[in-house]
Amino acid sequence: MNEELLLDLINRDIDGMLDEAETRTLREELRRNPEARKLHGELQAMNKRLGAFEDLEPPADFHKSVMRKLPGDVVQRRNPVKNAAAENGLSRLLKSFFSAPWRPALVGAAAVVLVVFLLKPGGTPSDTDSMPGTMIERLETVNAGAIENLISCKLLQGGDVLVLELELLDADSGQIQLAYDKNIVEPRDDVKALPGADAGKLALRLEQGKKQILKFKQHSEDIASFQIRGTVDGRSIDLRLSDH
Amino acid sequence: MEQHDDLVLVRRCLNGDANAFAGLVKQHQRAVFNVAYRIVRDYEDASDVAQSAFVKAYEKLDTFNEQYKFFSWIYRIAVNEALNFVNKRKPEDELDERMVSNARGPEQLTEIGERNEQIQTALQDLPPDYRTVIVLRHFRELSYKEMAEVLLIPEKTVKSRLFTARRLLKDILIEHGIVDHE
Repeated sequence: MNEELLLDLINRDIDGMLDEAETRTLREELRRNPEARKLHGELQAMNKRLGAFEDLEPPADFHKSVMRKLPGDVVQRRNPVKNAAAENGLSRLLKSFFSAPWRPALVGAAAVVLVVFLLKPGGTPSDTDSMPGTMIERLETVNAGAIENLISCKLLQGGDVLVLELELLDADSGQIQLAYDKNIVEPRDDVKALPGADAGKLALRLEQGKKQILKFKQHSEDIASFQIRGTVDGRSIDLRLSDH
Repeated sequence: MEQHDDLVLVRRCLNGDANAFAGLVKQHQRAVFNVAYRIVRDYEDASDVAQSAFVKAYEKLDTFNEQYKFFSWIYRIAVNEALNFVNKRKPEDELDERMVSNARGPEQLTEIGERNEQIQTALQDLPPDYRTVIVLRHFRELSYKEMAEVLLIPEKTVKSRLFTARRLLKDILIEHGIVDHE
């Protein structure tokens, strides 16, 4: 028997993968070949030793730790349904609107109204999802993320206004710090935060059933990003959103 | 059935349902963690490596080829993560870890526990590629075909690598008196 075949038979015998005919062939060869018999015996003994191991249990919070580390922006990229619906609806509307020759003038007027509306403190509604048929539909979701069943975040943009929505899911309360680059965005006057946070940060308390709506004015074309860190129901969260 | 369940979860996840990924993690966390543990041989490091593997899988889920099994794919990511971790680990860290492991003393270990510890140490002496095939075959009981899928190498290479790994490990175990000469 050639060596390659012999080694293959030994290997597969260790793994219990030989059929009856192959087993007979190997037994015969082992009877004739003392070196192969020795190797076969040693490998079998080693195999027996390795078989004594049992799996370890991963840490109890393993899957929760993984879920906490999932990047929120990937969820957004993969959740085209809501955004696509909004974008498609909007783009269809814009296309049909701009196709008429008399409409650019009306667009200009509407833009002025929109800017005034968005810059007016408190001009955006408290819940952007529940404002049908108003100018607020100009705000588009640019990013969103969630951490398990704890918190969901959504970033919307309209002109130079960014609106960050934070909402607890199945959690009761949370204490978070929202960090942003003050060279790129600044919170509008009507943003209510807890005192004591450093510059470029907002300390916020979240409660079940109360969506936090935070409005920012963007004064740079650079990417605006927000980091949300803190605890929700005693569990650490860390989430980043950007308008990129 | 498991593979079908995995595919359903993968598709839900790709449609934006991040919670579906939790199902995949729960289904495979034990196996992925243990693969990582047998390669890096430190509980905390294995947990980090395995978590990192799942996060990478999540980020790259749209590249998953449904012709293959999800577990082969996540094993592959975990093996790569673990090997990268081992390659980056300084040699002195390996030594420290071994010293800690050996420093437990016989009074703290049962005879079987001590043997297992010695085998684990011997496994660490194998080059990573050989250690990996031993882990996949002996600790996860993957078939040659499955190992080929995980490692992206031909089945024939799996067999030859496994045989070499076994011979090397056997020699180390004989040297340490864990396996007897025939």
